[in-house]
Amino acid sequence: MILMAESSLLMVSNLSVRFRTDEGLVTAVDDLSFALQPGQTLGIVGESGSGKSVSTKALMRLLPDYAAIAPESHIYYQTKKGDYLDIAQMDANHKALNQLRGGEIAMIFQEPSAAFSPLYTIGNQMIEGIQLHRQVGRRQARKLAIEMLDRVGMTNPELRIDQHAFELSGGMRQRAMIASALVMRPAVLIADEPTTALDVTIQAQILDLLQELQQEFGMAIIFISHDLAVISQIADDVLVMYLGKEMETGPVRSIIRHPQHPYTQGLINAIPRLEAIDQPLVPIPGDIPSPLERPTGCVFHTRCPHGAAHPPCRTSVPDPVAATTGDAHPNHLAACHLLVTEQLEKMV
Amino acid sequence: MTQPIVSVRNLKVHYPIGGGFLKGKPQILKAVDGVSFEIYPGQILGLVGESGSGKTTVGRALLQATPITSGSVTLQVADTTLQVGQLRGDRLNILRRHGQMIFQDPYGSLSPRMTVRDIIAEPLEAMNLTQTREETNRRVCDVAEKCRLNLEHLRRFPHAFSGGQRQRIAIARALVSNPSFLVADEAVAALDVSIQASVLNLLKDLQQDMNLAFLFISHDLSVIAHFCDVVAVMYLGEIVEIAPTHQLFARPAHPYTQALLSAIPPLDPDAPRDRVRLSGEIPSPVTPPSGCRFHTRCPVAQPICPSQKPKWGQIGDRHEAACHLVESEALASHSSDGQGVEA
Repeated sequence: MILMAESSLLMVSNLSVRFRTDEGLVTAVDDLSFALQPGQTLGIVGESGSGKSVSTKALMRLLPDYAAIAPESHIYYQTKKGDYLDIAQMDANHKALNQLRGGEIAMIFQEPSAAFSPLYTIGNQMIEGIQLHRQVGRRQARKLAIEMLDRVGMTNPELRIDQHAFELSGGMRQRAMIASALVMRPAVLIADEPTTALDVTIQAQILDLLQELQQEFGMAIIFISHDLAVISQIADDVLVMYLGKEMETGPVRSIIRHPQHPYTQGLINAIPRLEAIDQPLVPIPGDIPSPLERPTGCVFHTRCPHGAAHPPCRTSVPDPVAATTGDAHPNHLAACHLLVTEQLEKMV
Repeated sequence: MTQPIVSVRNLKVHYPIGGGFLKGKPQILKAVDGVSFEIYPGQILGLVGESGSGKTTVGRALLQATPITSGSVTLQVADTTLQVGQLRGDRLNILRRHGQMIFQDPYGSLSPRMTVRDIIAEPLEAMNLTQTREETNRRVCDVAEKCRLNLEHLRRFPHAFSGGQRQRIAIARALVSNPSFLVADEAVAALDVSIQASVLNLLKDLQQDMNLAFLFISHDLSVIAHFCDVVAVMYLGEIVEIAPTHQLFARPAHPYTQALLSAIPPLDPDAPRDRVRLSGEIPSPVTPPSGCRFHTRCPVAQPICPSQKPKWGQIGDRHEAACHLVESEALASHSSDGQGVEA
């Protein structure tokens, strides 16, 4: 077990989540470990089905009933009061979890129209959240809500607060969701693809806003996206996931400029770049395997350009090793057999 | 030069909203408000703009999937000239056979109750394009193979497939009638980048094999840049700039195009960028701004912009933009030529 570093706000170690399905047990997150520092942004990137959302929902214990967190999993969290909790080991009905959800760790989603109830106004829903966490009257709560709506750049917050989510445009809805997530000043904000459904112009506005608010409130952000370019704009550190496993992790510049893992390299090569519009796009071959047919060894070997030629990939799970090529950062790790082989060859 | 396969002249699509019995006159939503362009055989025209700009409506109007308010859409297929909008019976069948559509969401566009074979075969059966079941099967297998689908997949139902595979099924269905013109509406927007690249490559291969013309609708300029020959930029129901892809990305002339381009996040976090941040959102198409419709968000708006509609200005070969600044620049460079102006 890794000891919790003094500075970490949140530390996930050996997190595994399994789903019970009719066809059998499905591993959604497999032995995942990462740490989040206060005021920093961790970007989690990967294709759909890579376990990005499931692993962050586990942090708030918001998983469905058919999901189980494996007993060896730990999620250490230091509360605002300074207490240490192990979220993974707590009872799902534990009272402290209610304080945690929304109060300490808040979440925003891709689809704000699904996150807000169409039956209640934006104000109703924000005020309910505030009163759950704080002993304030309705009038005071409403004032807090309006202030926050104003802060996230809603025009006419006094008017908007009494509107329903469906009356707002996509960008305004996303702002309303950010406001309701941040009104309790959480220490951690989990942003699950918050800009994927938005136009690029609005995406740029929302990314700017999140960075501003992070500066102002000092919160840590976990930013989930399938788009490495968006991650590169907002993250300090990056975690690349595939089929529930960590493939590569490290500071953002090191990952983008010196990707070590063939999967990360594949993700980068597949991005259509404006600087190179005549170059053909390079897809990652094949599709993500069904979670019921999880590949043995390195989970990526079935789609890896080197996987077929390298026998250990099919049989043993690679451990993360430090990147040594180029100017890669010392904290930059990748779980790939090829790196180990390369490093051994260099030593000989 | 060859004849265009699609020519659109001053197309307008207006929808009445609200109104009705005792509610008085409905308001008019101007989804598409005077759009003109041509697509030549084998050419890919990209249509880009924010949501609400009217891209999808243009695509639907081209295939008579929405009523046209005014203007004309002419399709030149199989030696017949079709005036889209009023087609009925046999002539509508010709349009359906030669103009097909690929949708954004392969989870919504494929019936969960049909096998993949039946999904792909349906257009052939609906339009009576084959005589026997064997012939249908043969054409389904041919097109499935072209779209890199496994033949054993044909007996399965869509739920067994991933997003990328589903989109390939949707492409096979669109191509089975041997069309010459396709509307792809955000066809790769719902896919992961890694899969998006493979679907785009497949579409490009098929396009070259079958000499297909495309209207490729996307909100993603980098996808457009990689896939299209010509790009038209739409804002609030109007085209504001049109140019061959290379020209548009090398010299974007309209402030809206420039803003869209600069909003794309670069991969490198330290990449230098001149950011033109657009404030606000696209205004309502029910009450579009006067003059140049972009003036409410334009970072370089002039006093003339709210009052007068800009004319088209020529920037380069086949590169035009509707902006007062472009117009005055063109005038300035013209008069500074000095010679032969008054002659």
